[in-house]
Amino acid sequence: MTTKLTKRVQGPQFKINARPDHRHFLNVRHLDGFSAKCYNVKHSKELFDIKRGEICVADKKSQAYRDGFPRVFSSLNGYPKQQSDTDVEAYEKRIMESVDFIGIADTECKSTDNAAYQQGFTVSVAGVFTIVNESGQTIRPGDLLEFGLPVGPPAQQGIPPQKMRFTVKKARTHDELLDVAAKAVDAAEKNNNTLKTPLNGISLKKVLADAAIKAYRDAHSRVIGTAMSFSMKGDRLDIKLHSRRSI
Amino acid sequence: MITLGKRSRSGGSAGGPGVSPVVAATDTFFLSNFTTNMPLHVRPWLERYEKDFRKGSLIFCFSGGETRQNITTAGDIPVVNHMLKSKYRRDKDQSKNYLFAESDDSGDGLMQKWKPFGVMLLDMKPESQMQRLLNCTVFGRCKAANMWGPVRMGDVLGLAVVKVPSDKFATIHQPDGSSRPAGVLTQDVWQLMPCKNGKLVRAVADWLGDVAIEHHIHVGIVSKCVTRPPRASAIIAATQITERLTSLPHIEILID
Repeated sequence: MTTKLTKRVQGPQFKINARPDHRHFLNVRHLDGFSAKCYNVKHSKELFDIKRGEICVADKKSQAYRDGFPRVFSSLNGYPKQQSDTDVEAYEKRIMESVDFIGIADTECKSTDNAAYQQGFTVSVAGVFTIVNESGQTIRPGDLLEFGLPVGPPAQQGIPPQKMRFTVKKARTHDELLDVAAKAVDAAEKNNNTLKTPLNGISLKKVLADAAIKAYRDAHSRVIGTAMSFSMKGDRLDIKLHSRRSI
Repeated sequence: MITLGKRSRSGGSAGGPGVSPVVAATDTFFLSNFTTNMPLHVRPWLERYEKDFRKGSLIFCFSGGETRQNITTAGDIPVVNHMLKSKYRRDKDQSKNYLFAESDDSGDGLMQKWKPFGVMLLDMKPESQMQRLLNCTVFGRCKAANMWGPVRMGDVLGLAVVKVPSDKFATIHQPDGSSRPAGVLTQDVWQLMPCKNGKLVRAVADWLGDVAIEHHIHVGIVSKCVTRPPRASAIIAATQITERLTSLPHIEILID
């Protein structure tokens, strides 16, 4: 069953102009994605269109453009795999570490549009929006939400079923983030032990603290907003995007 | 002001009248300090706590349970503090404690069970006898009860979860104003207390002494404050009794 987004919450929002990332579209068409789920499905150009209400991300290492507009995409179909991606978990982990959340698409944009017709594509970065809950979880008012990878086919009407797009899900708890930080500290400690002259004392503590803080901050930076309504999986969900803060 | 003008063409033009409207906008007004309000359907409490919510109350939503309903269990700061205290009261039936919360981040923790939603703006259905339909400001400018004492524009306001020794309570107040003897507490309890710029407000710091902040909940930034700040005793009472909270003067804050 698919959900229509006919009834939407409308309110004041902050919007920015953006451009679709055509360089990313070229890469995904000509390079291979991981052969799991629908990551390597890219037969239709419609899979790469950006629809209203989709989560838009940008590559952290995107090329610099002189015009100052962010280059965004919303589809994971054909995301290029690398030799280090031994399994789908490693591939998905690398995807999440390579992208930055930008906002939620306010207008539509076709991936095949000529550069001359890219005007008018905006992304909302703050305010209250209505999207479809494709997380597979029941979300309640007040729940913190983070953006993550898709867990199933899209539940929104009008979206191709093979499209792999980002979704929102309940944010990880403080204990789970501490686990992430603890693993980073373990990895930093093992790395230190392999050095010719391992650090100790205050220098080692600074390195371990730095690893913990970075891992916690990167994991926490995926939190994008708060749920404003009750939503079962596949239902409409109102979310409030937070302003971006860093610790 | 927006004006429309007519740009005339030189003679010999074929076809229609050849009018190209010119639009000139002289307004430089940008919408600032706007608000976003969301409705919240609140489930009635047995003790009717929801009847005392007023404009300026910070509303928390209960996030546990698996019932499929669009109605939410909600509480203000005294109600959440009551839930935190009830976890360690010998006179409460702990078998019905799914609303009670710990201070930590576990599945039973406060941060997983009670989540801040917004500041109540008005009651959208005042004639309803049971559940309430509240309109809450979730983003932008709103008026909130000043439980932070003397503040100025730009101060960052929040709530802190701190451990309160049981001997600090002379009596245990419930949100409706009724009280119990302090001996009902079996141990020190965690409570939500106002904090400003990352530190506990002076009224609470003087009452509790040097305590560590377990969690910090961001509320907003002060945009206007012209009322007289409340007394220290009023601030502490406002964290326990709903009527004392709603009788505090209001300040204007920006929720982000």
